Amino acid sequence: MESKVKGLYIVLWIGILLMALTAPRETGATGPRLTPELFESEETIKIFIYEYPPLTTFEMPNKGLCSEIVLGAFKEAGVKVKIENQVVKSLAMYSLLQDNEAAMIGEKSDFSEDELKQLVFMPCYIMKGVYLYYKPRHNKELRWYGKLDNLKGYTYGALEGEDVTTYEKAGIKIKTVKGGILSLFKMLQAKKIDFLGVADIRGEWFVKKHFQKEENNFAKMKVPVWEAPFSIIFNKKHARSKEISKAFTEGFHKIKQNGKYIEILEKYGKK
Amino acid sequence: MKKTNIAGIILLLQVLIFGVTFTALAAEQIVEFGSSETPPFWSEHLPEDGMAGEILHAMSSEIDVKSVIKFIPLKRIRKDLINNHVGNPDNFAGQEFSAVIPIAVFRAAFFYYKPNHKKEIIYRVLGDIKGYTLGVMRGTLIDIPFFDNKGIKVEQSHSEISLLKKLKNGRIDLCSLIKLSGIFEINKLFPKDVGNFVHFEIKGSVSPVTIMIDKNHPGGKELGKKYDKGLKIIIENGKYNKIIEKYYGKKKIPPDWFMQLEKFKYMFR
Repeated sequence: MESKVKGLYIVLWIGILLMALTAPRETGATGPRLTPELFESEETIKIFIYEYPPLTTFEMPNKGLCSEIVLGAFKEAGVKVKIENQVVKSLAMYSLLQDNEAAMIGEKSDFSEDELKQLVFMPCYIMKGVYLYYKPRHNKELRWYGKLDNLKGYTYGALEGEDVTTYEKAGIKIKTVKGGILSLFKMLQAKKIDFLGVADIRGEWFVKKHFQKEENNFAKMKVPVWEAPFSIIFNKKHARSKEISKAFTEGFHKIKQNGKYIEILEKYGKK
Repeated sequence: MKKTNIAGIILLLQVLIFGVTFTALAAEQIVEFGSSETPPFWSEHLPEDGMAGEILHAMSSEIDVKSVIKFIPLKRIRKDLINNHVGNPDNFAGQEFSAVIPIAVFRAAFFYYKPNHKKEIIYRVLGDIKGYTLGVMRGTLIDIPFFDNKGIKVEQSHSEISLLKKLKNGRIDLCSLIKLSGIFEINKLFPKDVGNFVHFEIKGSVSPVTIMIDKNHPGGKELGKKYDKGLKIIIENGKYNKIIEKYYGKKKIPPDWFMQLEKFKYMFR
């Protein structure tokens, strides 16, 4: 009798163990969360951006100057859009080209000739390239007068992958820096390079944010180096491409006329 | 040999063994993380604790850290807001961390079973699944009325397995799962019927798989930096890709994988 009870006891335990092993599991800590925002794209057009302060960034109200211009133009046109920051430029481009999203904000020079065929560019802001130098390193003002030969013998700080042939031809020494533009500014401050090239609005922003106490020590050379538009880029393959690019044109025209465009520029210290 | 000599040798050996073990343990920092079963990302039934587990162990071994994953039911883990965790930080709202390190990404998908539908289901937008019954994991749907209003009936389940069984039996028309987990479970549950399960990725559903170090963990920030370094090493030496390819297939890592990882790294910096 006792051995039968013992046997039953063992069978029961095996049963419980099997139940425990085959029992359905709870949903995991790595789990999908289905929020309404995930399905918003049906009505809302997404405009992708990447971190490019102060033009498109998490760090400014309304996600930066160009995001604010784009939002303002679409608001005037009565089209609902949402700015989505992909942080990484290549990911914003991937969303536009591979996921066939409607639009992003960026630069034309980042796309290949083939890619350009499916895109429409509408400039929101014209960036001006300038050379910056660090005053404590130089006794006199650095000037280039639009000719690189005037900077012969000085050291230019370049980002990895940057084409520096024109500088080399002008007898300018090159120091290549890994990382982003902030690393270049640090090299400039450390007096390891003499000058760097940057869009003026970005240069001002970096100095203000990272070198606040030394703001006056960073100086711009007088003649601008280049001009390049920062644009909203529409994907022709998107089903609503024509409708939304037309709406943007109309809205952009309106904000330029009613003074909102200038208002936004002034907020960022530009006109 | 005298008995005292033998005893002396044994004692010496014991001291040596203890010394070696102690030195090894002292050199290696042990860090514990809590996780719930989420195969194939985290699972005590898979080699090296699953795909993300293997990444964690590989990066740990590069920085002389031993990471231990304790598997706990999700209900308990969600209430635990004082220990280190792995997974999606969204599930631990309210807890503060000194470091969150994204180590992988996942995306959600809708699955359906073809033989149960005469008409093919094609999902692009939510309106495409109006009138269908959608199975979801309990706790993953944040706003049920939102789906009701869209004409989608929602049925909640407690496990992926239960959802997939309901899907095959025709009790639900579609179910939402982590894409990789869904594919993994279908292969395990219905190996001869894999081709009949169709899935649609949900756009914008990419989320991070992270390791989270609680803000009160001693030296948490520094530990986070060490883990980050370990991750960088295994990405550079190719170990990372080999682990991911075990689950996705050779050269089948999603093309945006590393861009997404960089994005989440920025967001949790």
